[in-house]
Amino acid sequence: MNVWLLQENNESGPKDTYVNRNEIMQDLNLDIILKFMARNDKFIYKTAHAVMTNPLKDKASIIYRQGIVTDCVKYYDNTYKIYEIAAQTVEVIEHFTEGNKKANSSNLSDAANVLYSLELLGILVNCLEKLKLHLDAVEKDFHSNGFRAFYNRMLEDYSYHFVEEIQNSIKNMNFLTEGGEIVFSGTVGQGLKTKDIIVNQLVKETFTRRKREGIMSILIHKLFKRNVIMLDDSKLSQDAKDMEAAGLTHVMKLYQGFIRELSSFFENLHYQMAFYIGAANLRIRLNQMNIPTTMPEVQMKDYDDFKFKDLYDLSLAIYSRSLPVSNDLDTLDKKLFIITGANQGGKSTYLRSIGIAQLLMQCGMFVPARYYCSKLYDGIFSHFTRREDVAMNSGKLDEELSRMNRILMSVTPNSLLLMNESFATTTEREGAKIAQDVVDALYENGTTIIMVTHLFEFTKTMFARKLEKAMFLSAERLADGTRTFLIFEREPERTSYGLDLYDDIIQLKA
Amino acid sequence: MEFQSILGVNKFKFVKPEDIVMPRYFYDLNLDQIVRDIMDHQKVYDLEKYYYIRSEPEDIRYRMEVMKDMDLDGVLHCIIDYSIRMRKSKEFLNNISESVMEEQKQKWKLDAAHQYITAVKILHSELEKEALQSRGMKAFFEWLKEYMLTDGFIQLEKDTEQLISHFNAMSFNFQIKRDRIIINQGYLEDDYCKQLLDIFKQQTDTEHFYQNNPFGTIVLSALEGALLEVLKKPYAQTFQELKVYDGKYKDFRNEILLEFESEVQFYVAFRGYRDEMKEMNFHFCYPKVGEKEFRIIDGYDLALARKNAVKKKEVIFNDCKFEPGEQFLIITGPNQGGKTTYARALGQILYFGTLGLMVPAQTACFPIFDNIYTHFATDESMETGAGKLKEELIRLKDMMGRATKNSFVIINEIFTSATSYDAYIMGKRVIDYFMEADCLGVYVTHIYELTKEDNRIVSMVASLLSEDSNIRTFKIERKKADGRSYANTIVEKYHMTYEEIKERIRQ
Repeated sequence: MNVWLLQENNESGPKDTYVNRNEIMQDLNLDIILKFMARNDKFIYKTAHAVMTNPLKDKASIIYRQGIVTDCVKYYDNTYKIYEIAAQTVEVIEHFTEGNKKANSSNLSDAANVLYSLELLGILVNCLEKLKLHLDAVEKDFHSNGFRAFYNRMLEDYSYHFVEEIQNSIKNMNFLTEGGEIVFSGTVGQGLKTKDIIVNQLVKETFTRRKREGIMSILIHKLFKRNVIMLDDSKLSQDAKDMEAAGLTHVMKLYQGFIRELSSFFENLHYQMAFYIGAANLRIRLNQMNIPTTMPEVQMKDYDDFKFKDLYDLSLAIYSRSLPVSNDLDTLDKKLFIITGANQGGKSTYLRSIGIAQLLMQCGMFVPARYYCSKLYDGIFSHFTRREDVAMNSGKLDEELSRMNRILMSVTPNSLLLMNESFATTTEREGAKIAQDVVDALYENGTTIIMVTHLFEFTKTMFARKLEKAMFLSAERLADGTRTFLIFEREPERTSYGLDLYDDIIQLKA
Repeated sequence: MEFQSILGVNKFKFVKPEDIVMPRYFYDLNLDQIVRDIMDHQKVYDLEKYYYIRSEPEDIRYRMEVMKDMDLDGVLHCIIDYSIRMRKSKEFLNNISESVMEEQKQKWKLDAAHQYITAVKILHSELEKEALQSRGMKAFFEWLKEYMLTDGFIQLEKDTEQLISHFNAMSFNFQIKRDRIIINQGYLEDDYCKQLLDIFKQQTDTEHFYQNNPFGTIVLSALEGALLEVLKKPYAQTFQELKVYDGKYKDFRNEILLEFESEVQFYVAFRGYRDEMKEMNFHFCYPKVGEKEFRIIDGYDLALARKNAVKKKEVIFNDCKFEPGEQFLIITGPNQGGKTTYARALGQILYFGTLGLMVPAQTACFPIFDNIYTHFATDESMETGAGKLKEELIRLKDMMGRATKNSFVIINEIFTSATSYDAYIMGKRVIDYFMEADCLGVYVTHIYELTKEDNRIVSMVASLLSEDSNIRTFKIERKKADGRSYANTIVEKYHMTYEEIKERIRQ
């Protein structure tokens, strides 16, 4: 059965990972967020990481997930229990596969192997029963379409009747240890070899039959024109054993198919629930710290509203365990945001807060703000200066450009590119020229760019051009040099007030 | 025209197994690799003799015609299908000697005959659909039609089909209990696996017959023997007929069909190889062989092409031309510039053309040569300078003795262990000798002076991208040898460029 909790009608979810997945991870401080979500559960960390870096691209899928996230936050214990059952089942499966590897797995007909599979199947079916009982008890709490559909599929695909039938057939298979009979049919093939053999029947031996042994029963069979051969000949009894084993192996293959199906059901459930539990963990812990979050509003396609209220950098909030400085924005149809201003003024934080919010929104989660409304992007790319490569050095520029080159290979008109002090690894003139080329091309292409830059030559030119869809933002610095960490719309300035910082630090030393 | 062989107008002449040896030039031209790759496409057949033994001149055309017919997918597939059935039939015949029970031996023969008849009938009906053009295929098809109308074949078919249908109707069921087996006639239709699948709601199209019979041996197992004993009673009549059949047909297979099966693989294997190369975007053409003109456009080395395709490296195509009166191409130029590859490609084209197959070129025409003789430097091994020169001269002498008026000679980097002056003198003598003998050939060397003062000699140079660059184009072109010194080539010869040294240090 398909779990389909991460996405409607799709078990594997979107697969085209961000090209610069690792960079996004690093640039947006995702590690600290993921750790906070995981609460020491490595599997949640891994899963949330994978899900967050595979963004959804349509509104319906996001609303689908938002519903489930809401259920999970509201009924945390009940949903956690689903995750727990799935996790325990997966652990059993892994334990068994480990053990099976040690056993001689090459020989399926090995009786021990058959028993092994039967035991695993039995456990899986019991786990399934447990899950069903739990769901029955708590289903009334679920309101999201995703959970409701999941529950309905459970009723239909894995009914109690179905569970019982499998349990019965497993009992029949146990005749291997308890004795029984097996009936085959076949035809005569090339070279008089047997051909087209099928298993007709597999019956556990009953006690009444055991009594009819010896001469009497043979006579009875003869009467009915049956040909009875006693298995006293060693060769023949070996053959009979081989035949039996082959028949069982064949039947076991069918069970194995079902074991695989159930295993993958539980594995998928485990994986998909892990994401939601992670999301719920995050929300609940933020609530405890009185840090606000909200479900974002997904803008319809072709509408370019971009608005937020009290948006903050989630990674900073988690780090400081308190609500950091928040910013507001309300724009319509802007494609290019150029952020300049004071050093240490909160520009990178601002950029990051947008990136994180967009990322969380596109994986169906709530966002760190009181209000957030944005459209969906095909891809989110980040190009941040690495602290270690600020040196003026052509090798570094080379590295930086090659990262940009990789981004340019997959960026689409409907992408979001976050740039943080890009092209600062060369002279300002050269850097400005490169920035100009890149930004011009992408802007004309329709890509949304949010960039923090100190390249004044570049910002001056851009400002003078009065581009319709461009917006210039600046980090606030009060006259006395105090940074408020607030970002406002403002004309770019030549200085980034680095001297302030210089003075600051030098004076401290003195 | 009476059909003799698919490989020629006359029967393929018998060669003693010990005489089937790889021609001497195979290693030098890398034909050993290429032909091995070709034969790998039909491993079950022993094809060496067809590739090692030169075609009769009159059969070159005959074979190319057949090859063209084999280009039709319908023809190829029905021949592959025929071969598979014929091999199955042969396998059944071989099983006879391994079986113990008389009835089983007889049944193997019946099954072998059944496979044989099916193979022949399907081959006929499939070939009938094809527009065959070649003399070889047409004659074979006519022969096949007549063979199928012979009384012998008709009777064999009738007897076999009848008996097979009786055996196909036999079926049984058996019940295995702890201490006994109960066997009955008839097939029970209940399928346990199907019922199980219904519970699991699994959709599957596969039949639930045993994929692997536990009794995979040729001999009957004890259980199979027991089943047979039970069946013998109700089917006594059928088993009696089988015995009569066995006595009546000692050997039912026709010699021509067996030869055809083996010989036609010559084309099947080559086509498999060629298609694979074509998939990698390498071209082939049917050459005109036996012309006065000698001209090849866009030829290439098959072995190198295959290697480069794996490494995603580009392959360069080269032309080759002998104007009337020209006898020797002397190729000079930088090391690693494609000289040897050029010589090899030329040799391969001549070889495949003379074998009646397609050649690695865009277009090609050339005269028929009696034979190809090659002289390539052996791997620069432990031998001392003197030893190497000596060994080279011994091989050269042998070659001079065997080459006839109409041979093609390929000499590659000979006399490298001698001084330049000596190498020049010796080279000149060798070239003169072969030219006097009316041979055509290629001579790859560093001694550019050899290209001078003789209008029977053509100078070819491996070119560089530009005057002062070091980049090789691997194009070999008609050009006056300039004797330029290739300073960097010496560095490269010792593998001392930046990249190479880096590579070596890594090892």
